[in-house]
Amino acid sequence: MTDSVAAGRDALARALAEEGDRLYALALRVTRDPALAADAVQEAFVTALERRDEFRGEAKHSTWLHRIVFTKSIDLLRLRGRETPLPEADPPAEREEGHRAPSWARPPDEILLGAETREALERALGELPPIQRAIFELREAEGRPTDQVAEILGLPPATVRVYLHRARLRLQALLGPHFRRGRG
Amino acid sequence: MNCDEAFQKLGEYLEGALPGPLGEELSSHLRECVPCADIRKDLEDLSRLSRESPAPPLPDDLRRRIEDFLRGR
Repeated sequence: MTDSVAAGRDALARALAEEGDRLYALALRVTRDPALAADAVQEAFVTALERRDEFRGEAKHSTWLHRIVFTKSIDLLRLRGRETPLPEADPPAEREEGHRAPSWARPPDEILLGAETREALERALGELPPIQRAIFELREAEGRPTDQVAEILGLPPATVRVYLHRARLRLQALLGPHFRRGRG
Repeated sequence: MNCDEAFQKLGEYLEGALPGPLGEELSSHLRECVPCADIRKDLEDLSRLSRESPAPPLPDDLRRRIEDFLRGR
């Protein structure tokens, strides 16, 4: 084994230990399928080892790996014909009164913020295009800065902000009743 | 600022990307407009909920498979 390959394996083993959960969370958020997410993460590490010479600098290792996982997730979705991954057909955000939420998003009186709302969030995320789910995961759940999200996804930061806003408003329209009931 | 303008600018505002007079205008609107203030609270609850919802960890068998691959097995 050459020094380069050995160093690449060591670096990726460290990344797996440190970033494995977050990489899987991103893949799962994009694919919404544990089997596809597992394939995406595994294939991402194979690709990362093959392309180790493209990686420059320890500080961006996480960003680089996240980008590969995202790309693999989208590729697998496309191959399975599950969804159209590109967001161009995404409709503009609607005001809450402008549409009717699906039945699962309309809570019975007893539902407050909690497990039911988390479940509703997961279902509501299924209403978003994969790119918006990825942005939501990286920005909202992981708390990454917008510039870093943009770098991972290969988008301009302004585009990330637009998609994030659309995602938030769509989710707000679907989940607002849950939140308001939780606030009493 | 009217509600439609506030609705469109709320994302940038919450990102801290709406400084200056426009940000102050929106702050003022949110103090006076109950429906828009409710939407802002919803968005803040959404952020809190997503931060506090634990994601499933990387499955152990997958972790082992990748570790084995990285060890060249």
